[in-house]
Amino acid sequence: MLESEVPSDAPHDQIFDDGAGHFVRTGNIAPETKPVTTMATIADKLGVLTRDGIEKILADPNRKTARERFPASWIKNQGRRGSCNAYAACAATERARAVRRLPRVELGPEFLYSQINGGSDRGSMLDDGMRSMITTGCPPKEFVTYESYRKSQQSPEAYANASRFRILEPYALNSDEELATAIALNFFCVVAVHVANPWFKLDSNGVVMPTDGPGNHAIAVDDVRINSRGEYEFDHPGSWATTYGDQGRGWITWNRHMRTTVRYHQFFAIRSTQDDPHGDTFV
Amino acid sequence: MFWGVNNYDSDWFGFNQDGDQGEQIDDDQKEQSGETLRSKTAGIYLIDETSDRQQLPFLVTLQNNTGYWDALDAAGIKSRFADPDVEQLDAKYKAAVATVGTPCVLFLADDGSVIYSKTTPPTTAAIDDLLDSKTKDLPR
Repeated sequence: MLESEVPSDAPHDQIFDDGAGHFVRTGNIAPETKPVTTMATIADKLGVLTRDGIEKILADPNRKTARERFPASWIKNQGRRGSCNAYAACAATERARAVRRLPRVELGPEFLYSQINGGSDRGSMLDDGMRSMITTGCPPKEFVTYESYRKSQQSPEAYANASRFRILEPYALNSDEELATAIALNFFCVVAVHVANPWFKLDSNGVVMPTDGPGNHAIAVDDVRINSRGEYEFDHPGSWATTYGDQGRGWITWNRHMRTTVRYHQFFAIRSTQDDPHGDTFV
Repeated sequence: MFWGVNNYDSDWFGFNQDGDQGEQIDDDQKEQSGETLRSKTAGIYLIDETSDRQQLPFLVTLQNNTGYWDALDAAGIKSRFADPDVEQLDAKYKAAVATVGTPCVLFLADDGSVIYSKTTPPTTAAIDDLLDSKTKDLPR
């Protein structure tokens, strides 16, 4: 992709070289103030797990890591569009289905993006993506044109199949303890980060170099580990293909990457999905 | 002791055995002696309020044992996890959940009917014990 192909004049909609010679785009709009939510938080609804409790879940020999469970074939590519919110929400939804042992269905995030971007390819907001996944849903990718971004580009078949793939009301989360609890309890999360040039460098432990700002990019979070300093590290599948990071992934921490973005964006945990009435027949 | 299995850390899991809210089995199924639940089961539905998981982490441990569920699948017993809030959950499953409470496990026949329902046991070994029980011996 040529850099000149992508319009970008807003702080939330930026283009970077991923270090492998590919240009990648963000697209997460940071509101001036954090949206007010009526969602229950993890802390209020469930309570947070202790670090010991999380360690016990992570130490279970039968537990697979996200990298084992969702390998490179699960990594998406948002291409030339500022559709990170939709890609993050779809990645989290697909994983939530997998945990329920539902058949794998690849969703078409462009449909979701077209519902929340106001008709132009200039990014979207985190909580809009969440609300649309509850009410409208997102169809399988075979009904969606890659890199489309307008509602008018979505087919009647896409609209007809969107409601098959929706999520239940998520939980809000506002701290690293809540994020770690959610991941340990098999919820998949969507958070905002602020991508700058250091984001594309991983340290020797695979952790993304620190970046700070109001948050210009949305990502899914699908795993947690505890480092030697007792700090939670969170794994994220990117939406920039497998040339980004470590096979499309990188570890992030609250203090390095989310302590500022959480002041602008409502992070959420997908607790479960609705069933696909056409494809999820059980026995 | 829970279904002959006591190999979980009840303190850590915080599982209240007194919370076992009952179980049901179809009378017609009960009368067929000699058959195990495993031989009659085509699917297992584990249903939990997602908000239960913080208090009952064994539900996560059960989910995470994908090798166990994959092996059951290979043996012809499908498995699925659901929150009772899932709109498409069949009315007969919602009725079973209403009777037993959550978390619960439903054993389904190949026509989708509920053969047996029970408060979710804390281990896969306990689920195996249930599957290997003679249907006539399953406690009500």
